[in-house]
Amino acid sequence: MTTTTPLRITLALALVTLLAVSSSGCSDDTNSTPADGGGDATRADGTGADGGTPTLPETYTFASRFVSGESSVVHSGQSGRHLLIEEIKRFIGELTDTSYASPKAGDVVADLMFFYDFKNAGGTEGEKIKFAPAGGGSAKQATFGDVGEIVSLHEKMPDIESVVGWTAGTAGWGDGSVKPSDLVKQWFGAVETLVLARINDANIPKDPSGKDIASPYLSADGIDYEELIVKFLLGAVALSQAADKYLDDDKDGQGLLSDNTKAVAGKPYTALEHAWDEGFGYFGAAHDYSAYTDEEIAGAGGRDGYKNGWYDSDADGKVDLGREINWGASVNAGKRDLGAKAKTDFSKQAFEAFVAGRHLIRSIDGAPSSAQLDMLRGYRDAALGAWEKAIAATAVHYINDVLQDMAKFGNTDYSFASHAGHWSELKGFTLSLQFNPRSPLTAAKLGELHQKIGDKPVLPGASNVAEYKTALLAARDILKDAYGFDAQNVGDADGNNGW
Amino acid sequence: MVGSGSRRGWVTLAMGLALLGGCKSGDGPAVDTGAGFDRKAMLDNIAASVLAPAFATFADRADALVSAVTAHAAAQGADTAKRDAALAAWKAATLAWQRAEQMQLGPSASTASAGGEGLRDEIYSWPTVSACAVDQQIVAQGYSDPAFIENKLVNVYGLDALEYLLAHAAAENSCPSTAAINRDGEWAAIAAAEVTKRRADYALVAAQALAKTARALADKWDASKDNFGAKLGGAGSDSSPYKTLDLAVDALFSAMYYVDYVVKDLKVEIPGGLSTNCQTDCANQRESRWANHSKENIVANLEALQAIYRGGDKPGALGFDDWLEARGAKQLAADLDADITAAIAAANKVSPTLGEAIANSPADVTALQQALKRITDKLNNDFVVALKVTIPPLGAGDAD
Repeated sequence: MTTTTPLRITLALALVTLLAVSSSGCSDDTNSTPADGGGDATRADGTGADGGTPTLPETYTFASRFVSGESSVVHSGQSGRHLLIEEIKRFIGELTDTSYASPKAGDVVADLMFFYDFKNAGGTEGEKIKFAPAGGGSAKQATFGDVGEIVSLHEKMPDIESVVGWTAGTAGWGDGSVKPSDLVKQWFGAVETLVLARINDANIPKDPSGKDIASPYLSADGIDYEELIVKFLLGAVALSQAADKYLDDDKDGQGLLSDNTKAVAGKPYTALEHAWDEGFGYFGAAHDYSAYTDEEIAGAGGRDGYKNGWYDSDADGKVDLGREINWGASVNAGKRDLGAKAKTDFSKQAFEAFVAGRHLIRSIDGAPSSAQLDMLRGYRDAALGAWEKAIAATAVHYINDVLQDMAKFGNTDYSFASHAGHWSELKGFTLSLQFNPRSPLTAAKLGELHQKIGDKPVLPGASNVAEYKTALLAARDILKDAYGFDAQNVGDADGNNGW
Repeated sequence: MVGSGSRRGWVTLAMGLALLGGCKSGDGPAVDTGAGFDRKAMLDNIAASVLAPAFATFADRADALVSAVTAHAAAQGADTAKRDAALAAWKAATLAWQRAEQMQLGPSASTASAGGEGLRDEIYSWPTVSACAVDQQIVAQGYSDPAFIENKLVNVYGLDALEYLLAHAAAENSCPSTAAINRDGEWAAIAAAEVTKRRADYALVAAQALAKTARALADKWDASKDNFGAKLGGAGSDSSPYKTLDLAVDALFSAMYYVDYVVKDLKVEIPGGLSTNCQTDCANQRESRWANHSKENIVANLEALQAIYRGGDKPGALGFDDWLEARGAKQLAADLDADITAAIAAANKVSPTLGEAIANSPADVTALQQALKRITDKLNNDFVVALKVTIPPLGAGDAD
């Protein structure tokens, strides 16, 4: 999202831009969010209220059809889960050799499970939020109760029998048929094992050069559990819940087939409106996402007020963690757009599709017709497609980082910790690619991708460095072909000149 | 926002602060935000009059520390007078280093920052410290390995480890009962005299490494050697790691910001029970738990901040106060200087030690916190507005 062009677009234009790679970007418009995002009503045939082409709202803001003056957009559960993922990230990242005075088996896992299964693990409305918006921003919500629902990540994990991409028998991970939820617990256990060994037994793992490894969440074989766990959760919870539940259309009365004729009891929205909002909430974009430049979404600079990845739209001096900050994949989308050599606009494509779909739902007075449902499916596919592309592009980025790390083997500028972090992000993001049922990456290619990436990085001194580099290049090609990435963005054989 | 990051590794205090200087985005051709004020002359002066001398003084005191610890170790740690002398030498070296703590830019700063070589953590890694880890090395005698300093984490050497080795003479170790040295009886199996000897031997290894690093750092600032000060003032030149004068000024301002993130937040508010970020055992999170030198450290930090601010103590020496005056903020210049002076007085009023004041005269600790906040409030607001310097972010951002 890089241009200064206002985002007010037509539905017809939206469809064109959503279904094709667009080279335009988001607005630099800094106007505050209106009570309703604006835009004309869409008629059942897809035209505007006056029979012409409807315009879309600039923000993800939709007034209730049922309660005058009230917003119909609610996704507090999704904001809460993004926060819990952040809390897990913070907790693991802050672990040190003095975090526990006298740790026993189960202590570290219990602390991690608190955030993982918050709702069922003693989390309360009064639990203070430790996450703080970057750049000194002050959050509007001080407690999880302020965010809304008290939720759990654990109970939203995909109900599949086995995670593709974590090989049986390696690194002690069971028999190869581990469920996503159990995999996370196993990783928590691995963190605990490292912590207890360090504190109780002075058993500090060593990196390939023989130096003690500083971070308790970093194993000697190069797995950074903070990165691995967090990136996996963004796929296994956020993408999975959006793609396979709230935006899916395979079950009557659920997802896109939810009721749109009446308000949910006591709520200002229909079930369909809410399902769409929950999918949007998992994408993680601020409601005025289109006002950000890619640089600002990435938190890499830009205008004061936007440059840290959030914007105080209502000027109340606080950052509303529900609608004024960008989370998860919405940030990755901006980062990849920012770093693209051949222009991409995943951020714009995803946001416009979410807005267009929600606008359509809001405009339909009753159940969607078959044609409207098809249109909604189109917006869904466009939104999830851009979302997943952002993840896949981020995986390409980390393949390139790992290639660059490996090129430094034997040099003083090689960093084991960076290498482990890059590889673990790569693994976490690519594990995420199995959670969209409409993924362009086939099951066969997904398996092939993970065979090439493996279950741990290849470290200095290994005998298969050249072979692994070749495998990473092949993995990158799998992603390039499946997602149609421009060769310019993929990078060269050394991992340079691309994402 | 968040996401993921390759801000891996030992996310140390130095790293968090040192990244500060490199975060300003507009690094194109230099724009004279000095508004007629000669910022290069100010940087040149501060480097020559304040920064380089601080590192040189520390190197000299680190050498003196080696001498004292050598005598202490020669007595196998058993001569109380020699241990006291070694501890006194540690305090002298620490006072010098605490001035340098306020000057984390260039070679002492993180390798992720402009000109950074990460030497600060090699010298002093607080709050990344672990008394238990030091005890574990005493048992393992890991310090006898020639590669000990190279391969071990920063929490088992440097001034912080030396403090524990020299000031903690009790028979007990600091590890929990679950730790193998206690659980398996390893510590108990070592005679008390042997523990004393090992502490002294270990201290000598740490002191020698410290002196070596201290001298290397001093040489990097020495005008007759690497002369990093010339690179600071020479921002924009090929030999400088700073692309613009703005970035060089921001690097120095980031170093000054230590008074906010570290002095106020970590050294006073956390142990003083004045922060919601600590709920239990807060007093034991004070900086100098073993030698009870926390108050003196804070005074040294503030004196160094004032020296940078004033550009040293020579008449007419250019400092940030002069720059503020040149920008028409004469009252702010005077007020900020008075605030720093007042904070030094407030720190000195904490008595006899920070730890005891927290327990017995908490009002004095609160007064110090408020005095510090008056400084940081000005730095965060009027100062940055007047001089158009960049407030440093906390730590590294995500890289993905």
